[in-house]
Amino acid sequence: MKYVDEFRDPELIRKTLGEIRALADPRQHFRFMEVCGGHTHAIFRFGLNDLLPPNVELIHGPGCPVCVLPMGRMDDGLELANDPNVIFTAFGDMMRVPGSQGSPLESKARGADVRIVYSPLDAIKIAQQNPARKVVFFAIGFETTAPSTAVTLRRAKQLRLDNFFVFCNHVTIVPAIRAILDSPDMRLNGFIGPGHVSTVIGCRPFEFIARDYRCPIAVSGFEPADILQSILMILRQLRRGEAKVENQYDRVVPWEGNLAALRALAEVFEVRPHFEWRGLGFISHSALKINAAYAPWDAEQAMPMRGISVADPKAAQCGEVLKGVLKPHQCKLFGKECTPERPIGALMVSAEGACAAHFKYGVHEPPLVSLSTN
Amino acid sequence: MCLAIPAQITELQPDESWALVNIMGVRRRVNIDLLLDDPPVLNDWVLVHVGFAMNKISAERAAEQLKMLAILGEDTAAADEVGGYDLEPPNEVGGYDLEPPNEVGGYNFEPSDAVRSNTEPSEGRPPYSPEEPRDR
Amino acid sequence: MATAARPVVFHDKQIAMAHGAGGEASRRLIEGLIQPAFANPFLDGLADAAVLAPQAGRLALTTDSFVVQPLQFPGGSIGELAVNGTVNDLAVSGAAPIALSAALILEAGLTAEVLRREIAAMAAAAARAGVSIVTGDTKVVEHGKADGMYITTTGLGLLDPRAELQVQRVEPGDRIFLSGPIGSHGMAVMLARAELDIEADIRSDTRPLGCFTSALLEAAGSGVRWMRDATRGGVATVLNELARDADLTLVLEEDAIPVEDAVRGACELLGLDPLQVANEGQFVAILAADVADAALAAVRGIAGGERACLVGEVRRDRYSRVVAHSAYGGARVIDMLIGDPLPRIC
Repeated sequence: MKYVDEFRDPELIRKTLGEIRALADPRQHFRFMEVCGGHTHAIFRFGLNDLLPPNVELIHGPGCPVCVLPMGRMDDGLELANDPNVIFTAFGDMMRVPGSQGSPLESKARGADVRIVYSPLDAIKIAQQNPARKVVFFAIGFETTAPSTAVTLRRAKQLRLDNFFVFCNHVTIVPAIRAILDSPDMRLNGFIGPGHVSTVIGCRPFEFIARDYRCPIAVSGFEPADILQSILMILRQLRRGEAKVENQYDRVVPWEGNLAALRALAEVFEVRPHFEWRGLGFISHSALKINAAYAPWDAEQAMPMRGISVADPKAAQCGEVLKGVLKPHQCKLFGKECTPERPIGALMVSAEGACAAHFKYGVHEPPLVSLSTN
Repeated sequence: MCLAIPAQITELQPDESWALVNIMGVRRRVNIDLLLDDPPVLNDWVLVHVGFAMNKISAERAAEQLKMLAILGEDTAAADEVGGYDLEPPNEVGGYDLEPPNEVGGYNFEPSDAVRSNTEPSEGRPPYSPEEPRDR
Repeated sequence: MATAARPVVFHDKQIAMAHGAGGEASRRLIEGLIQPAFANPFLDGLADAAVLAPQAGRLALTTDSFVVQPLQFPGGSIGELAVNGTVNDLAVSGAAPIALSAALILEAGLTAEVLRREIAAMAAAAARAGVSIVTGDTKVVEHGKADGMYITTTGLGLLDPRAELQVQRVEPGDRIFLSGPIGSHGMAVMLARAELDIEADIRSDTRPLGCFTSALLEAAGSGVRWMRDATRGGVATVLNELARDADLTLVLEEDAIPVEDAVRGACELLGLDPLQVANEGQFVAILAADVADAALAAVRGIAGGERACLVGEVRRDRYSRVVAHSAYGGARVIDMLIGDPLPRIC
């Protein structure tokens, strides 16, 4: 598979690891946060954690849109789904996310018309095929996914679809990173920057991390060689006493981002004054809202919605895990009350959530590489 | 977040904003509205996310990255210099026929012409900037 | 049930409630369509039970229900699955099929054409597996109460005397055998639903596995410790069950696991792990190390067994789990599938 297999080449990975070992001063402890859930997933899937020297620690950040979606929003979405006249569409990732009355899959089991779509444009198609029913697309995701929702809304407007609505839960990554950096118990030596978000917003929005917090950041791809090279770039910056934004993933990430995508966002969305993040609380200017020009397609404006904030179970320590203060398995509920099959906390919900990844890939157990291959 | 994978364009219908892409024999129509500033041509490789082509993939830059990683460990100094961190002039890189770091581009911090050529002039902020909420 | 005096013909265009009511319509369906397709001496009398002679040796009995949407998909259909699935449950138990029973639940409104096709698929699959469908039942439910049709098959088999398949016999050092490329069935069905608007030339791998399991037993005898067909939940799920039941660790070599290109592409696109995708024509076996190579060679010598391979080995570790090693030294725990595989987008 082109642009994938080359970056999983064992020889390259071994070399990059060797260089990381040579550069990571054993007298120091390095704490790097991978912001993006896709990175968290890749790190576990490729077993990178166990390959890194023990003094290079990866902290899993808030970049899993499913995990940070607050329960109240899920409840609002499911209330729409339970209307017999509504076809509720969402990405597969959302299907097991618990609201206070259960997940979309459980709503479906009780008779709601819940459908998985691969693309928001597929939801438009469903709306065209079912003119007598209302089709709601439950939009989630960071800036990577938001442009696709924007283009979809443009299409709905062009087509003058009056039975298609978007329930917008798009969030933006920079305010969340800032919230983490401002958190008093946070100690990070570097950031592995979110590569796919950066395909849209570019690298410039991360400059404050280097400038204001003196923290190196490498915008990174998602294959093992990408992630390891990014770690290497951060280590080199640290060795030189530098803090800057580097673009490891420049085969797809333009420094300025994708201007066509940014225009689409500007045309359709506006920034919310504040938005709740599961585990992190309310963060200012951290989410997108559909603007007045697209109000007829905005489920929040066009359909009844309660908009009540629902508290997460108190015992779940998602916030501490999100900020890297606790390791997933140090949470009181981890693997006991809270498992991927019956998630309680946000981070156990998605395959990208730090807790689900720890649980699934068994990171709470001894390192896997101790089992030598033949 | 955001599962996105490389795919090659095998059919193009710009008037209708879509392209057919191929991923190891798997075919899907993807929307190409996000590539308006840099319209794709047949056989281009693009990054696909939720049925949208997000950006083109640069073969040159991918090759340069791989080259950079391949020489790691063989000559740390050389690797360092290719990486754009050189304290010495690049022509002292022993044994490797490499261009000066800024043109190698694997790690450049400012947008190169190659990146910008098909996009808008970069003065001013992008129309959307998550750093600067416009309702502030 | 009386034998028809003259040949009964099934000309009905679609299934109605009457076809399950036991009257004339039922008789047309059974004697006009099903009985001729499954033709065998046990069915000819249309008695309430098939009467089989006792067999020397140990018997295996298994049952399975089949629900799938769409009913037909590239590489197979519900009728073929219903026969292969049960025949394969016998095969991986070390048994050769003696007879099958089949129970059909039909939804009123199902077209006769679809039913005819599925009955033919069942008959063809049974013939391929060398077994007869000796008894059965048909019921009809109201329109909207079932997805076209459901099939339950039960298989009676005679255990191969060489088979000593027991979880307790799995030992550290044993090798993990896989019969061929994984994930094709689950992916073929997922794409055939057309909800994802993704096209690929992926065909279900549904097939009878008896020739391969027999070849393993022939070549390795009691060196075959354990076998299981990797259906729902894929290879990951059956191996996790084995790891748990045997209290051992199973180590896979990730790069050794065959996956067709298109299946891999679809998995990458949808964020799925091929190890967790269903198969209907692949099985996993645990082989004693000293006979593993010979057993593998025996399977590879059979048409359809060319891509069988040894994909890992059994270890003893503090934890019973399934671990996959990658070529560059990384390792990950392979988990069981939770629920259905859902496409992952973000």
